[in-house]
Amino acid sequence: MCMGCILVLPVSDKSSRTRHVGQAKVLIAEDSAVTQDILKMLLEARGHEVRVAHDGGQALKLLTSSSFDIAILDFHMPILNGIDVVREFMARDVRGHAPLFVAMTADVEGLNANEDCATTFPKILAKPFEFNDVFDLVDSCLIAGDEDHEAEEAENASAADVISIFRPDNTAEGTWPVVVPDNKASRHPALPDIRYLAWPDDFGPHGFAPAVSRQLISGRKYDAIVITETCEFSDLELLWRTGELCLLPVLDQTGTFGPKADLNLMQVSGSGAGQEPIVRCIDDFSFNRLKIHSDLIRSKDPADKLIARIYLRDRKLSPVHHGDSLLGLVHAIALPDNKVIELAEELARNGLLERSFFDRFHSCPACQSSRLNAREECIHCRSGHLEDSSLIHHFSCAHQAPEEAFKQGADLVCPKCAHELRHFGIEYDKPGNVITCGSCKKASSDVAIGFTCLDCMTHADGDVIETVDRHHYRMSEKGIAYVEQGQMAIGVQTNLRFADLPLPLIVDINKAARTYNEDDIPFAVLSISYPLRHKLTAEHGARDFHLARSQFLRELRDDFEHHTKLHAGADVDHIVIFDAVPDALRQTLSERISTAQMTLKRKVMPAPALFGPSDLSG
Amino acid sequence: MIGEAFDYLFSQSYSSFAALFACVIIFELPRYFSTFASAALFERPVPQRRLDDDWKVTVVIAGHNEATSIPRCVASLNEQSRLPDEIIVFSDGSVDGTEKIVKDLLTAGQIDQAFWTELRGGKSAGFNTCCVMATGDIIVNIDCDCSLDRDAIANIIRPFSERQVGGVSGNIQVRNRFAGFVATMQAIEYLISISLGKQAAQMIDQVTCASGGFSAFRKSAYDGVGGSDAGGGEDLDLTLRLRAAGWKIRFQADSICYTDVPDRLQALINQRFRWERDAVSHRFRRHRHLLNPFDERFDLAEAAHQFEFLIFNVVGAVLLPIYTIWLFSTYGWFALTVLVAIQLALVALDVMTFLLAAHATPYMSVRSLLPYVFGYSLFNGFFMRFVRLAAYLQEWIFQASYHDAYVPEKVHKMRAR
Repeated sequence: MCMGCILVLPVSDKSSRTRHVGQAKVLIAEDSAVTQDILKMLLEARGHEVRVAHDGGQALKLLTSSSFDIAILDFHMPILNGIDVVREFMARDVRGHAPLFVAMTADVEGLNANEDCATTFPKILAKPFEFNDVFDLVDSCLIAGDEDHEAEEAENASAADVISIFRPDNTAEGTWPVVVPDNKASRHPALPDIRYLAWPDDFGPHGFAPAVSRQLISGRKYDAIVITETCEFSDLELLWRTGELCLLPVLDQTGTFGPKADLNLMQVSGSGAGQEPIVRCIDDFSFNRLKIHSDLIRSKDPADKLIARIYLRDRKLSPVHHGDSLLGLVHAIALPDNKVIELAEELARNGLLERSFFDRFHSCPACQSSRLNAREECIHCRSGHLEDSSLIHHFSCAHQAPEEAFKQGADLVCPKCAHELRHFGIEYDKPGNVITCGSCKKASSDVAIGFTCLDCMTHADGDVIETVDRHHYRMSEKGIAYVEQGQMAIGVQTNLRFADLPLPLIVDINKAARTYNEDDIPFAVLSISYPLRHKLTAEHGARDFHLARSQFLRELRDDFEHHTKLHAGADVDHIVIFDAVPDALRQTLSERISTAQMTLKRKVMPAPALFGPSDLSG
Repeated sequence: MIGEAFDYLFSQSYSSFAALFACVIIFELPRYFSTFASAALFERPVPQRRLDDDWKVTVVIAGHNEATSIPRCVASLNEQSRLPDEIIVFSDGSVDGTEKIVKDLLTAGQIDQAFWTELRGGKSAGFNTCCVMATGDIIVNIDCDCSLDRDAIANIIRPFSERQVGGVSGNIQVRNRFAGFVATMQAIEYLISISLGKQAAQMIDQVTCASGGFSAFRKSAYDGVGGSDAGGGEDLDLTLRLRAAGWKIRFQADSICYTDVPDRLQALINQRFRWERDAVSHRFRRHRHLLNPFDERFDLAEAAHQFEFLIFNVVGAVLLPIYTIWLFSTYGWFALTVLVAIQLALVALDVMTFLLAAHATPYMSVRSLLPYVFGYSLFNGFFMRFVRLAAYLQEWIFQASYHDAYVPEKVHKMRAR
């Protein structure tokens, strides 16, 4: 995460751009997921078309492959920083469709100290900033293209052009929970000194409060979400669309969240345990959150966010019956339960979650509610107004009818022969029951089963109503590996993300890439993860696994006839293979992996992924 | 012996012929003549399509342990040219899964009402229950093991257009007619006694039993006489009470229903013991007043069928062994020749009767039964007559109809005698 971004107007031929006020094509290059999400959301809401790049390399690739009106660049990005991106772009002689480059930063002074910046970028926008300033800037940039004000703006590019500068957040990153003085602590005296986002003060049905949005963009970290007023679970979907906010513990001050809250503050205050449970909950979350791989932190896939969330709490997702829920159950996830189930099923299909039967629910065919009134109904008119009565059989005259037909006050008198029935078992008996409908007056020994939805009042017959099975979910070994080791752990890694790679490896890759570019000598990078690492470690011990893994890597390197260099990591190992044709290696890779494992006492079950130069450009 | 019997037959004078064949002349010929007469006057029914009617027809199926037969019966009802307006099924304390079958039929919409009891109460109680619940003007009663011709319902309700008609008996025939000799004999018997016999009886207003297998009642008439009473033979009892109440009973020859008859001799004997016991019990115990000219309920028409039954069924059966003994004591072993001669004469009459019955029964092809008619005389004239005699004696001495398994014991104990 960079501490700031710079918004700069580029020196380019603006007249060649096609721009329309109120509708721009915007590139955001920013490695902060929160900033990406918020800017994208806000600009798209205003009708702008937004593309996102996670690092400088990707930004450059997008700039050269697509046409943008505005490019908002983070100053400090992996691979290439903002200045390098502009410089590389301009060097490629693409002035014909150069966008308006906009840089953002919280380190305005540092930016201004850089002479290249001062000359290259006409304007600076410091973080945190007012969104209206961003909107105004985007609009003014578009208008500027028509009014040809670029030169003037370029000349005035200086700290004076900073639209708004807010106090930078000096809080050190990665220290959770962070105790900071905050005025919220006084608003909610039950809470310890933590940084939290409160519903509905900080975020509500219409999104984040402006001040909070500024803080989010500036990279402000939070410890928890606090619910201070009753809300719909669907309102909290905003958290799932914004960076990693969904991975914060949800503290419920209203007592209405039930199992969906990670901590019920009303119970905490009633228990007399003080703030200790709150601090422990936040500690647990932050500790587990550190173990989540950046693939999932960055991911926009809600299923990825869900499995990361499940990882944070016991690695299980167990529903409980709950009458307030349309589905008749709730999960300990602050999302609508139908959404939780949809995502969990997707994860189960991919083998990341294992499911076991929880319960079977009847489901309304119209609204899928499980809040149904199940009842016995008249088979003729479907009324629930049924009355059960005994059949009386008068032996001597064979008259058999409902008991009401025989009743005369307290006596039973046969309506056929007028004989008074006095002795059960001798004169009469009750061989069965008959059910009479109070609505249509028809009788039957049988009743129908019907369901009426209490939410939409739709009626469904018992023999046609659908049932749906709900499940418990627990993370599989594969799921745990995925959360901790990212995509590579499940063998779905399709490209290398430089931001995740150790610096020595990047240096080696750059060296190989230069040789490839200059001398056309190919190379390959082999990534090896171990999806079953936790399982194998649990079975045989960490030392045993470590020795086996080291031996495997040695055997594998020896098997290559090329010059190789090993970069052993915590979760993933990389081998750079110089002067090797990737496609040829791919054909023999599985055989090499098998061979390397043959001498091992314990198999390490590696998941390899091989990348060539063409895979490394992004 | 047959040649000798023919010679003997044709060598008799009128007086000796009359003496020798007294039994035949008294107990057989009148019946044959009555049927010949009815056949002479009878017009073979012309198949008719459904007539428009305003009746609401309720079909009632009541049975005990009939899981396999009820679906077939309901299926034939739903194939009728004139569909019933309401089908009610009653499972009388069944333990063979009938209840589930009935539930399924109800769920599938093939029947309109269903009732079941955990305790068995007998056919009458079940039928009465359904009639309490029925909303139809005409109640059609069908045994579970029966199935109907497509026009059976349309035809059986037709006589109700005559306002005096309170009940109509359907034409019950044998479905398993070739399931063995015993079944084939019954097929011929049903053809002659029901198709032709009831047709003849109807011509003189003497239909005395709207069969419990397949019959229809005007609901007001049924309710008016209190419905079925407890015990076996309830169809005969109900019909006699309807007649006593002034209702006409009709037979509808073209309303054909098929049923399975016992195909084993012992089962047939058991069935006939029950029928005959119930018949004499109802006729000469419950309804004996119909034979008493001093009783205020005495009526000549009712007395006629009572006497007819007394003479031709009861006395005929009683005299047969006496006559046989007399023959052997008078003629020694030559009596056998006489009996064969009598049988030859009866075969000739039976063939003619069978042909008339075949003519009188629409929709049925009965030619394949013709070869068996030669055995039918012996079966019906001798064997079944002895069965009847045994049943009468059992009922007279032991009142066995009050103990048979057709009716639950709790009902036997309490039902009127």
